[in-house]
Amino acid sequence: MNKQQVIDHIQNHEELSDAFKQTWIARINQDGLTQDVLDDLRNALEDEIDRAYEDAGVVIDENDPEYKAAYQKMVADLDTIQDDFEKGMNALQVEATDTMKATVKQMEDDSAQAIRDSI
Amino acid sequence: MAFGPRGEHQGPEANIATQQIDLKELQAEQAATAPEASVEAKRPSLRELGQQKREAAKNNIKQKAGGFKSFLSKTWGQMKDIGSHLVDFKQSELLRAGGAAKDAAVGAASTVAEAGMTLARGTRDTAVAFGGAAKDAAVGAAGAVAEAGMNLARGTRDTAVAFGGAAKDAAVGAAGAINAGIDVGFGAVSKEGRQQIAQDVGAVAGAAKDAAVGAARATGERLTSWDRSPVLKAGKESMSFLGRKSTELGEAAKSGWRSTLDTFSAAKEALRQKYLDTRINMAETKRNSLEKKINALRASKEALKNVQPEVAPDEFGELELDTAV
Repeated sequence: MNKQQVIDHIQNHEELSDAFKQTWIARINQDGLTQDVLDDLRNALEDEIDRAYEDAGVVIDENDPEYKAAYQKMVADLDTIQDDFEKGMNALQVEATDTMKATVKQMEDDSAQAIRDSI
Repeated sequence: MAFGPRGEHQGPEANIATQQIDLKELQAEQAATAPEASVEAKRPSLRELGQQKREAAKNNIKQKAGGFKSFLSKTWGQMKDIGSHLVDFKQSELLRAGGAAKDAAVGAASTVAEAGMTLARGTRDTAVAFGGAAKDAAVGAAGAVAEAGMNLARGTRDTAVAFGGAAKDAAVGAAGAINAGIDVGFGAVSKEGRQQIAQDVGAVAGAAKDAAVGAARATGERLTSWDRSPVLKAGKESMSFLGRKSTELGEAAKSGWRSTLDTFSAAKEALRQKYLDTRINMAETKRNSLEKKINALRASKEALKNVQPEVAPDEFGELELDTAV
């Protein structure tokens, strides 16, 4: 689906409220079809699913061991993803700093040599 | 997605399960009316915590990725500034060296010209003095010889006259020769000669100055082009490479984030299916309506999973590096 098709999909959705449609069509038009918009839209749909179940009286018991296990796995997985991402980014930051130092040193060495050559 | 088969639990077990749920609802109602209900209500549920965790993880990735792009841009800016500063430093150094060389050349030319003029003046003066002395000496000698000749003439007039004449001629001849020598001396340091000396000295000074200024300009031009220099270019490419790496890391993290949420969503769905299957007392129309809604929403969510974004977000976009120095 392209941007217009996503908008049409939301606009023509029978299960979504007018408020939901207006909010999300406006967001898509404003931000464009970014991955963030798509992620947020999918999360909003998940919230709508949660709400539909709750409205029907199907509420997940948060003390349910299965739910707790799934929840804890989600939290642990998100923590792992974040940790891995942090480590990767920190390594890149170190690499960037080292690169800058090496580049600056090379420029200074070249400059010094150029001055020596010109004398 | 499709709901599971219904009616499997329409026996005693199902009734027990239904009673358990009803009991939980009752407990929830009692808890809501209890004095501590206001305190309990403020405690976030796992669902709320989960949403917070979901948002926090996403924002953390976004902020970190965006922050790193800013860091790279700033780092590039620092490299560029240092390179630019080196250019300025280099240019000023070269201009100073060029100026000094020019001053030295002009000074040398001036000194040579001065020396030439002094030499010319000295040569002229010496020549004049020499010429004058020689002439005086010659005249003096001639006079003395003439005097002697006159004295002799008083003795032997013819001889004296003849001798005096000869001596006089000789003295005049010598004076003429000396005058010719003076002319020759002046010729060596004549106006044209002095001009020639000045021109030669000026040419040397000008050439030295041009060479110094030319060298300064050439090196300066080379340095002002450092934004295209291999070193700075390599630095820029490194920053771009790291920017792309951070984008890959960020996208991988976001992909993992999406996958995790989908997994959690699937677990919730399975749990709800289990709950729903115990709800034998739910009206058929209500259940059908819920199924229709849930299936439609889930189908939309699934369809969006494969949509390719058309616009890259800032934190994952291509690193823009200002190349102006």
